[in-house]
Amino acid sequence: MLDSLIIKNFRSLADFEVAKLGRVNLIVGKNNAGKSSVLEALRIYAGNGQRELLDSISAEHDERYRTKDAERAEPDAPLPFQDFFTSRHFPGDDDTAIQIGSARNSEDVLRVQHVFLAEEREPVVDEVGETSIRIRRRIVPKTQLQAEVGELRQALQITKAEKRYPPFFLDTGYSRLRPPVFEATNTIPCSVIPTQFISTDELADEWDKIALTEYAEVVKQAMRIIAPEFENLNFVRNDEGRPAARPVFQRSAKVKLSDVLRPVPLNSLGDGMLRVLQLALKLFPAKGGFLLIDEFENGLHYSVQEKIWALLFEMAERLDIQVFATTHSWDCIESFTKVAVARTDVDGVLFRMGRSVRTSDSGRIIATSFDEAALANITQADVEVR
Amino acid sequence: MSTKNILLVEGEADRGFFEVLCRILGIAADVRVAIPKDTDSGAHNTKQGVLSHLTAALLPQLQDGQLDRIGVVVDADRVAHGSGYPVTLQRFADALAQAGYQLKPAAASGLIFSHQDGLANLGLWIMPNNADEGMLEDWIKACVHPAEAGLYQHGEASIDSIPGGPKFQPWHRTKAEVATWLAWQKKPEHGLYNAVQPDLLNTDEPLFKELQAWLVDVFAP
Repeated sequence: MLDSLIIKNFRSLADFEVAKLGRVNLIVGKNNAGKSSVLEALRIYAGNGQRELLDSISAEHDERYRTKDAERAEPDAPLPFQDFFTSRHFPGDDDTAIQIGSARNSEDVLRVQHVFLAEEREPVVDEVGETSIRIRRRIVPKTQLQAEVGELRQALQITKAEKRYPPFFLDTGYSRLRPPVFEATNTIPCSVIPTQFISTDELADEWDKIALTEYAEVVKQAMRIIAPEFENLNFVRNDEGRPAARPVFQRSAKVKLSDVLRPVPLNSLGDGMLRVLQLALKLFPAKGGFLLIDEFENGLHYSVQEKIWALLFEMAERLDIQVFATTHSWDCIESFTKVAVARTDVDGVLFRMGRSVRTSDSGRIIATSFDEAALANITQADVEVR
Repeated sequence: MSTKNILLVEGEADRGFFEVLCRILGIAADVRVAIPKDTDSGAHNTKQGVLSHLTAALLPQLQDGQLDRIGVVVDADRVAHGSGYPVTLQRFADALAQAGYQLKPAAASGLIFSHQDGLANLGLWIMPNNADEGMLEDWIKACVHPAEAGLYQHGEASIDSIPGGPKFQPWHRTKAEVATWLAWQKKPEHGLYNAVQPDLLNTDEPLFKELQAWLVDVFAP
């Protein structure tokens, strides 16, 4: 669990800090204040910044993550991942890197650094006299690029604590064979609930992992918050409207309600049920790590939000999950506040993101935090989010 | 109201009073009069509530421009009760120093704190006059219109002649006087805000003019 948070040089967050995080954290702020960037930064931190993760985050934004083959020879072609860096280009110096992690413990910080690598091939003779070529790579300081005679390749270098991961090159194209995937060690479980709905197949996979366990009961309990008549849930093969010639294995969720004899499709019960199912199912893979919820209130009527928060606080504590959720809604803040104040044993923190008006800050994005004591005292007018 | 300026006062009676005062001074559109949210009634006295709300909920919100200007009005209360003007000023000045504010040496009116890193000035007024013990009612008493002096004195005399003496504590004497005086007005059933009328308060009284100048200085400089 992160005790505090710094994010530096990542997207619009040039120098962002939250002095104290809670177990459950609610992030508010206007559009474009950087709320989603915080969630992304946490994904990168949890996944140790490995390439597949960066690829998929870039793809979500239609940002470049591979160099096109046709552009490989062009020196000025735009490179992948530039958009991750503040002001959307790679830093001109060696010190500026994306940093994500604890504000209190510099050991617990992930660094993403843009580097130039020189490659040297040297023959190596092994014990039985066979000669092979070993590639040695070294980072060339950006001030000495002109003096370098050999070929330079641009790469991202990831470090976390003392661990340095193999760099990945920015000039690899779509067509090139994938580089060997290094098993990223020390990653933190991280479950993401996006603003859009998650595919039923993905949910079905999560359900399979917990079916017939005590956690399945937690999911059912969550469903009953929205629909007290809910009895049970299953995922079945969906052949509805699919020509037999093109069988695609796809599943859909069926629900048993106490007042209907036959199972009914979950999709016929409204957005709230679907959202709660996503929240509940995505809880368990977050065990021991992060649960990231973009726009908590999506699909949830204000009258049920307090119960959902209560469930999240309870399960977060039980499964050692740190929750980060964003919202635009006062109802959501109010229900979060009620539960945070009532659950004295579970730390809840609300922080609002906005631009500093301090002269020395030159408009950087900062966090204004409200811990439980402050939360008990705030009113809607105090935490306007529109 | 979407105004980014807050005048923080101790309780509902004070809020009503200052809402009317801001209205007649023509700055009501610029100021939202607020009180600490009453969540733990009895746990804190109201001045402590103001200080907690100021430091925990309001000061942080100046940093990202969610709030622009803050004024605070509290009672000095009594020295004998561990409060009074110097103690009250010290408590607020200490809390504000942690947020980067320094008391300006000679403000034209009231108490003004300036910020070292670009935030707007913050105003503090300690009732009645930023010097003596007392409360809002002492300020009202000092500003009673000369035409009302006779009625006010009649109230004082009536309190003096209560058979068996008054039930209230001696330090609530001015509260009782102001309440008695207001009880004998055209609209007897109203609160402190009813005192804010041109024929009841003397707008030429220096103390009235100073509070007015302070409000304008804090919220509409």
